Order: sequence, then structure tokens, then C-alpha cells
Amino acid sequence: MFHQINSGIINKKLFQFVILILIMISFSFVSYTEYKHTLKETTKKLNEKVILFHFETFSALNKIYEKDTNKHFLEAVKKSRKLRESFEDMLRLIRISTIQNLFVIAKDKENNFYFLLDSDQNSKTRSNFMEPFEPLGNFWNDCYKYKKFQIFHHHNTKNLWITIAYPIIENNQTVAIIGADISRSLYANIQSNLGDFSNFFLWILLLSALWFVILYVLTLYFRKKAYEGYIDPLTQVYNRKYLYDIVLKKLSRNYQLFMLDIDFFKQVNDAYGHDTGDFVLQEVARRIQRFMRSEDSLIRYGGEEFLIYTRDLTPQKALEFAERIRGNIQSSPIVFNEISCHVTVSIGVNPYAEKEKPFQEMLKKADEALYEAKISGRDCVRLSK
Amino acid sequence: MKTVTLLLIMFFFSNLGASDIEWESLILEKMLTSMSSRNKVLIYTKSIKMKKIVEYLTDARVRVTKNCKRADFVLLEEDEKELCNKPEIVFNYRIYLHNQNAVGVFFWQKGRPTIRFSLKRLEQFNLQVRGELSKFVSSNQ
Repeated sequence: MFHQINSGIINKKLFQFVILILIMISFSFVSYTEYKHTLKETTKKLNEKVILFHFETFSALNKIYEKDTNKHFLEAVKKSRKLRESFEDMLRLIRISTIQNLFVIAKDKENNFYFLLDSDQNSKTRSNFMEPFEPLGNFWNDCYKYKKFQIFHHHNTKNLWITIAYPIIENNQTVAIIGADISRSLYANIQSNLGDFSNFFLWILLLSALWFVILYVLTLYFRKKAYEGYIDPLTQVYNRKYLYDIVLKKLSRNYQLFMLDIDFFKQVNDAYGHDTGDFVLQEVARRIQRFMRSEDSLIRYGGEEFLIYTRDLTPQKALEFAERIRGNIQSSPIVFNEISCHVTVSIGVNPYAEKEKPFQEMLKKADEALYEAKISGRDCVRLSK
Repeated sequence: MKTVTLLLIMFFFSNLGASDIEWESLILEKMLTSMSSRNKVLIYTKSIKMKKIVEYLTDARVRVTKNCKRADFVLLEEDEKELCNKPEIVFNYRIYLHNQNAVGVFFWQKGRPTIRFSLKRLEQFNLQVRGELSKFVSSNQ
């Protein structure tokens, strides 16, 4: 019986555990999705801030170029080396550490781009005046065509993250483009800082999961202990506490009570000792259980008294059920340490118990039937009136 | 189209996790094979860096020769004086501008691969660029 209960509890708990894990996975998934979304949004906002910052700088630079060349930027730059050097100095002044390359390009008659200015002073890496510029991405042409700044996100290059193309416009025509390559190191820096946040988030999730598991295991442990409190340690059937805590709360509308008492049990104890008496109790409990359905309850009510709770049995069926138990117990002796005991039981049955009536009254009727069985010579079954 | 070609090459190789040297060898290979329709393209170089790049060439048509006179193309990393008067591919724009035998140049500029062919010098050697790299032929030099 106890194993049955335990297996029931464990199966139920296993189911609950699976549900809990599913809830946890769903919770983690939703949290992670939300986190990723937030991270994406934050990255996007940071990118926009970075772009906006550069955009404002280029706008100011453009105004200076306009002023200094009297709106003839391209011609002036092509003609004067001194002016180019001066403008390149300006580029260097505004080139901050996040900008990897800062340059100005223009288009020739064949629609090929070439360099006008480069902020780079390193002779090995700088692009000189009129050197070809190979555009990666159509945004340079778009910048020329639409006269609007363009932003390009590099995905296949190692060092470049974003390129900003800012048009220099004269007489409603794009004459040159300020190009700025934002280093991937800035992106890596942003990602690295956000990465710390990711680790923190993952730790929170992990700790939450661990906390859930601990809580679940503790709950399982305490519930198991609580159930153990309902089991009679000698016979491994339910005890009287179970009767009052559980059975009384789930009584069927019509139910049956069987009060069973081992005949002359005191004599067994006196003649063969308590160990034999204990074994007899265990064996009687085992023999009763052979005839019980899963929904029935066997309770050790007192010393050698057992109570059986059943439902949905007619008086006739209840009588037959009790007779089967009685017959089975008396059919063969109980043997313990070479001592053979012929044990019989008397059973009083209340087949008319109703939920609406007080339980103690129903129990008393079963007890009265048992008394009748006792005074009728024992080893028999009596129904209550 | 030039942009598309370069982007396609970059995308393909960045996905394969190619190193710079693999990159350079791929582009070099494309430059060589686009200038020659023969079954065998012989190249000659003295540069150690170029020899390393050449090791990564995958096209069986391109082979290395130790004899400059037998070579179809010479690869020049530095401004070397080459006596065998062969069409050259160089890897520095400054050298490309001044070396009259330099028919093509490949170099990195602001993190971007740049290819140029000189129409005038190609004609001088009776060469022609075919296929997708023909877009990089310029009449300026």
C-alpha cells in the first residue's frame, strides 16, 4: 500500500516537475527574447548616437569648406596644394579615435571615385590626391545621386564597422563626399560593455533556475514526510490520522465501512510473544489488501482492529467482500519462526453509510455489527441494521 | 558592378574565414587568369611575400617559374628593376604609377581591396582583361 502511495506521489510529482521545468524554460525563453530585444534596441540607439555625433561634425566641416572656397570647393581643392593641406589639417583636427579613416573623395568623368583629401599622415597608408578609391557598397553613388548622407554597415570587413558618406553640395550638385570609417573597435567596445550585462542576466537566470529546483526538491521532501505520517510503521497500511485527515474529507455519498478484529489476538501475543503478534498483524493486513481495489482504503484503527473504507458496493456485494476476506484469513495458518497460528477474524459491516450523516455514527454501526459477530461466536461477518 | 564583384568576393571569403593572404592570392589569381586565355600562366617573383601568396593559388593553370624570361607575368612587391621586360602586376599604387610595365595593381586602401588595370599598358603588351575584372580597366594611366 505504502509503495502504491509513494509511486502515486512520485508520478504526480514527476509530472509537476516536468510542468515546472516547462514553465521555467518558457520563462527563460521569454526573458531572453525580451533581453535580446532590449539589447538590440540599446545597440541601435547607441549606433544612432554615434552616427549623429559624426553627422554634426561633418555638417560643421562642410560649412567651413563652403566658406573657405566660396562655394567652389572642388576646383579650389584641385588647384591648390596648400588648400588641400589646410583642409587635411582640419580633417585631422576633427578625427577622433573612433574614426579609422577620414577622407574626401570625388568622381571623375568616367564615374570612378578618386581621393581629394585624406586625414592619414602615414606615408605607407595614406591615399594621395587623385589616387583611385574603390567603393564598397552602392551608398557612395547614392550619396552623390540623392545628395543626402548615407550610412553603411560593414559585415564582411575585419576593421570597419560603419561608414558614413556625407555630401558636399554646391549649386544643388554633389561635388565631393566626406567619408568616415568608424572603427569596429568602437562596436566591440559597446558590445563588450553590453556583454557584461549579458553575463549578469545569465547568472540571474541560472540562479533563478537553481532556486526553483531547490524549492521543488524541498516541497517534494516535505510532502513525502507528511505522507509518511499517515502510514502505520508496523503494517504499512494507513493509520487513524489518515482516516480523519484524508478519508473524512473525500467521503463518497454512499460508502461502506468494515470493522475487522482479529479473534483472540491477546492469546497469540501471550502464547508466542509480541514478535509473533506483530507478524500476525502484518500478515493479516497483507491478506486483506489482496482483495482491495485501488480506491479502497485499509486503516489500522486500533491494536488488532482494522477499518476498511469502500464505496459503490451494494449490501450484498459488501457482505461477499467481507466473507472473502474472512475466508482467506482463516483458510491457511500464519507461520512465523516455525510457529503456526490459526487466525480468524470477525467483521462488522455498515453497508448503508451516507456522507450526510455523522461519520462517528456510521462507524458506531459498523462497530456494533462487529460486536454482534463477536458474540455470535467469532470468525463470521455481520451486517449492521 | 565593380562594387558587386568586390563585395561578392569579400562575402565569399569572409564566410570561409579566409586570411588576408588567402584573399590576396584569390584576387591575384583572378587578375592573372582574366588577362590570359592560355592553359598555362607562368609567373615569376623574387619577393618573399609574393612567394607566400603564390603558395595559396588554387588554379592549376597558374604556375611559378624560376626563369624570368619564360614568365608571362612578373609580380613586384617593391620598386625592383626587372630586366626581362614582362608585364608586371604590382601591389603598390605609387609603383603602378611610375612603372611602365605595370599592367595591373592590387592594393588595400582604407580597408578596401583596390584593383586597377592600365588600358594603355595592357595594349602595349597585347593583353586584354576578360570577364568580371574588365570593369577595373582604366584609361587614366
